[in-house]
Order: sequence, then C-alpha cells, then structure tokens
Amino acid sequence: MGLRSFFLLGFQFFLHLLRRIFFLYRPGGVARFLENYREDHLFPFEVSDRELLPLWQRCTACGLCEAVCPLKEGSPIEQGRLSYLVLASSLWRDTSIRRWAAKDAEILASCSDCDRCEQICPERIPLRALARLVGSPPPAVGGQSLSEG
Amino acid sequence: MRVVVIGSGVAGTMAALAARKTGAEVIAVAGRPGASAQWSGVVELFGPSNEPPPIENLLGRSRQPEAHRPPGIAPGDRFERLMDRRRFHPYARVGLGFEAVAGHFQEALELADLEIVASLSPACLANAHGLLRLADGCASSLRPGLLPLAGSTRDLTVWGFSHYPAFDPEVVANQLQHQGLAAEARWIDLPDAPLCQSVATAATVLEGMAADRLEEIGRSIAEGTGERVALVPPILGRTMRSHRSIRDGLTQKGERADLAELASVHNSLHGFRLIWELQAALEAAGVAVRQASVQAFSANDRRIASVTLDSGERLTGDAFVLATGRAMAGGFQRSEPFTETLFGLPLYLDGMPLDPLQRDSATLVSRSLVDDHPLFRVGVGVNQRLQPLDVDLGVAFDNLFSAGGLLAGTHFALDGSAFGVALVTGLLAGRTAVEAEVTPWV
Ligand SMILES: Cc1cc2nc3c(=O)[nH]c(=O)nc-3n(C[C@H](O)[C@H](O)[C@H](O)COP(=O)(O)OP(=O)(O)OC[C@H]3O[C@@H](n4cnc5c(N)ncnc54)[C@H](O)[C@@H]3O)c2cc1C
Ligand code: SF4
Ligand code: SF4
Repeated sequence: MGLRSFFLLGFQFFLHLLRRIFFLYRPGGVARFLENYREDHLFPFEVSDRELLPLWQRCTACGLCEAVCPLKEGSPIEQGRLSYLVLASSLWRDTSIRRWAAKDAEILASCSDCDRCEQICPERIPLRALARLVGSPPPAVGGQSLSEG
Repeated sequence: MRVVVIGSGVAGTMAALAARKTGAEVIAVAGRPGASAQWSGVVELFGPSNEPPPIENLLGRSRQPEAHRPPGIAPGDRFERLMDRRRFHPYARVGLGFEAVAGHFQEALELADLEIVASLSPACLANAHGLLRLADGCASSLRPGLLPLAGSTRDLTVWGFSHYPAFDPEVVANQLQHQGLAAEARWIDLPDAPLCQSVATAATVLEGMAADRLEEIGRSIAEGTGERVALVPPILGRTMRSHRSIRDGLTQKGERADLAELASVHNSLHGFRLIWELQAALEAAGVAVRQASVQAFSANDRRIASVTLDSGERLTGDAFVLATGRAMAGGFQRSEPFTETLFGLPLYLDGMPLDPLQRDSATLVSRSLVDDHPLFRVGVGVNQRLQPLDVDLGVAFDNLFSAGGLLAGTHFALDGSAFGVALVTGLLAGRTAVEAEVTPWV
C-alpha cells in the first residue's frame, strides 16, 4: 500500500518537472486570482490590509462606535444607514458582501476624523482605515475591475 | 493614603468611590469601556433559577416552545443553589451570606447614586426579544416593566417604532403570550423619520425630535395603552440626560401611561448610559480620573510601588485595586501566556491555579454553544480580603486587591450574579484597600 503511494507521488513529481520544463503552467498572480474569485466578489488585499484584517475581525458588535459618532446627529435618510457596526462586525466575516457597505463608506467620507469611534472601541479596531479601504475603488488589475459583476 | 484603581467599569468605579468615602486620595485609571458598557439593563445579584437556561435567553432563542415565567424561587433559595453549585464564587471567597450581599448591594447603589433600582419582590423583566429574565434590580427606565413572579401581572402593550423595524412588537408580544402574559402589539408610525438599523441611530432620531412631537407620540401611546403598561424598545436616548427628556416628553413628566423600556439584547444603550453615569459619579466624588491604560508596574518585596500609564505618567500609591474585567476588556490574555495581563497573576479555575503553558482559552471551551464552558469561570483567584493569589496559593502582592468580572469562580452569563459581583466586590475591595494600610494583615 505504502509503496503504491510513493509511486504515485513520484509520478506526480515527474509530471510537475515536465510542466516546469515545458512552461505548461498558466501564468498566476492577480489575473488568475481575479479569474477564479471574481464571481465570489473577493478582492485581493494589499499586504497592509491583510495585516489589518485580523484586527477588524475582532469586532464584538458592541455598537459603541456608532453610539459616539457625531456624524449622525440630525441624521438625514442616508445617514441613518451609517454603520461601523455593519462594516466591522459582518463585512469581515464575509468579504463578499463588501459592496453592500458601499453606501456606508460614502457617508463615512464625510467623517470629521474626530477619532471618537476608535477611542471608544474596546477591541481597538482601526475603524477609519477600514472605512478608507471600503471606500476606496476596488483594485483594477490588468484592465479588469472588481467593482462590476 | 493614596489608592490607585485600575479600570473603571462597575467594579473599579465602586472601589474608587468606596475608598474615596473613607477620605483617601483616589486616582482611577479609566481604560476603554468594557463589559459594563454592554450591560443589558437587568441587575443579576442572587443567581438564576435553573430553568429556562439563561444563556438561551441571552442568545434570544428559547428552546422550549412553551416557555413559562421563571419559577418564583425566593431569592434566598436561589442564592443557596448558586453557592452549592459554585463553591469558589467570589461571594463565597469573601464569606458573604445572602443578607450581606443584599445589604452591600443597597449600600453600593446609594454610594454611586446610579439610575438603578432594586426589585422589592421577586420579579422578572422582558427583553427586546420578549424573553423573560429574572431581575433582582434594573435600570430605572425599566422599572414599570418589572413583573412580579407570584400572583397576577398587569397587561402589557408592546410598542414598535416604524423607523426602527429591527424591533417587531408582534414578535415580542407573541413571545410574552407564550409565557402566559396578556400582551398586545402596536406601532407608532413615524413616516418622515429615516429608517435605522441600529439602536444608536434609532435613538438619535428621537433625540432630534421637537418636544411637541414627542408629546404627540406620547399621547398616542397613552391612548393606545390605557390601563396597561407600555413597553418600548430600548432606544429612548443615548445618554441619561437625553433619555430623561425623551421620557418626560412621552409621558408628560410621568403623568401619562406607565412606560418602560425593555432590557436590551445586543448592543445596549443601557450600558452606554451606565458608563457615563459611572464617570459622572467619580467626578462628583472628587476622584482624579486618568483616561489612559496601565502598561507596567514596579514592585519591591511583594509591594507594588507604582504603575506606569501609556501616557508615560507614573502613579505611586499605597494600595492598588485591579478591576480590569475579563478578556474582552483586557483583564486577562486570550492566548499565551494565559495569565492576568498586567501583573502576570495566574488564572484560577475551581480553586486551583492553571499552568499558563499547559492551558489556554481554547482548551477550556466545549463544543456546544450553550455549555457551561470552564473558560467563563476562569479568573484571578483571591483570598477573603480580595487579595489576588499567586501560583502557590499565597498572596501575590500585599497591597493589591481585585474585584469584578476579573475574579474567578462565576460564569458571567449563566450564574445570574455578574452585576452583583461587580458592585459588591468593587465596594469591598475599595474599602479593604484602605483598611489594609491601617491594620496590616497578619
Ligand atoms: C453583553 C453583556 C451583557 C451583560 N448583561 C448583564 C446583565 O444583564 N445583568 C448582569 O448582571 N450582568 C450582565 N453582564 C455582566 C456585567 O456587565 C459585567 O460582569 C460587569 O459589568 C463587569 O464589570 P467590571 O467593572 O468588572 O468589568 P468591565 O466593565 O469590563 O471593566 C473593566 C475596565 O478595565 C479597563 N482596563 C482593562 N485593562 C486596563 C489597563 N491595563 N489599564 C487601565 N484600564 C484597564 C477596561 O478598559 C474596562 O473599562 C453582561 C456582560 C456582557 C458582556
Ligand atoms: S472619526 Fe469619523 S466615523 Fe469616527 S466617530 Fe469621528 S466622525 Fe464618526
Ligand atoms: S466599537 Fe469596535 S467592537 Fe464595538 S461594534 Fe464598533 S468596531 Fe465593533
């Protein structure tokens, strides 16, 4: 049994070498990522974003950030939707719903940078960086943009 | 005599106020909000009844299709059961009996002058899912909604606000009917208000309303409610001040309709109001507050000499109170080393210290969500005087005291005593910290 496995493994390695030699592998990188994951609305992160990701995911949905934000005072209709809570607590459990937060990100563009939300967050989540990421245009690589589709 | 209190949730604030009352100079280091900011408005003091499991209530889904009002077990009996089940409960560590806990609770409420009331007879309260929770007390905005466990209760009208559709009065009224209460549902229509998805936003809409508009809404509520009790979602204002003015508007300063907010389920304005109240209490008592976090300490010969803040300031003191809450607030580490964060104190489980290298938080949870996870009763072990213990079961530092959620021995959600522990041990730690200097402990 064990011997057969080794044979198979050896055969795979042989195929791998052949492919390497004859350049049979398709080009990888962002283009291939886009091809594979576009449907899922996943998007490639910058290295710095990837470092922030685990911090954003710590949100316990306590709602304190929203309760202190002065942006909502005298709120017009759209401002009623402003929600760091949604951004931080649900978005980063499932990055595919990023576009749902687009409206929130728009409102957050008028953020006065008062820092109250980050000051009160028990989990020390860098919320303004999160808003900037969501508000920034999705990465367009090789002529493809992730925003449509 | 100078006492430095680290953390100013419910426990830290009580400790600071109690120490200050004796005339000591007190400095409170207030970090970010912790569990106290998430308090759902119900004071749990003497322990739970055994059914229905409160954790399921907290999660908002009772497994029993026909849930009933919690059985009317007398608070004293609940307390006995809790002490039987949790031999290392902080109340037991300090040696408090039922009467003592009740007495200290009253004392704490008076000392801090919080908008919290004790329930005079065994009672329960409905939360925003319509599930009933035992309540030994509650935020004053919930008071008219206290339902006695014995005898008949008043009929209820649950009101929803159209701008906050996440709260559905029909669902809540249905749930209450399941539990044997007479409840009906009504809506307040606010056609020009923006739709809100969070409690905080829903509250800002009410905060921005003119007084006569509130009056008008109050009139409809009073007419629709009649002799019943009006229950509304917990969205009446983000601060105590705005809450009062909204409430005054709706009830015409208490003239109209008995109006109560429900206990909150997740993200809670009751907790949000509470943390500002605590801060105000500290200021009123003349406690110096530093908005900072403690990063390091220095000690010589089992006595803490000073702590250093992230602002760089060094605070010396004669006694120190550690009230930094559970892992969420930063009191202990979630991962390696699995110890208390600031002083590296060992964490205790059921009377024994855990080896930080052998155990971490992941090994102390079980598969099922609603289990009695050992992780939730892990914490700092203390002696009778609330002094944290070292690995050898001896006192770690002679002038360090601890209180609140950080203490080992009780499950903050299942045991129905979390708020009580924070209030009572906070009060005692503040007091003992001062006494310890006067009469050294032998
Ligand atoms: C969602 C939720 C709902 C709850 N609902 C109820 C309820 O309905 N009824 C009930 O009885 N109990 C309830 N509880 C439990 C109760 O709220 C807590 O047990 C209690 O508030 C704990 O108070 P505490 O002061 O010990 O801790 P916390 O309120 O967590 O305070 C600890 C403080 O210490 C600070 N701190 C930590 N590290 C440092 C440092 N290095 N330097 C300076 N400061 C520091 C933190 O910033 C924090 O402010 C609930 C808890 C939660 C999480
Ligand atoms: S920094 Fe911006 S989003 Fe945060 S509280 Fe201030 S205005 Fe609101
Ligand atoms: S304050 Fe922080 S933890 Fe709380 S909801 Fe906002 S982002 Fe999440």
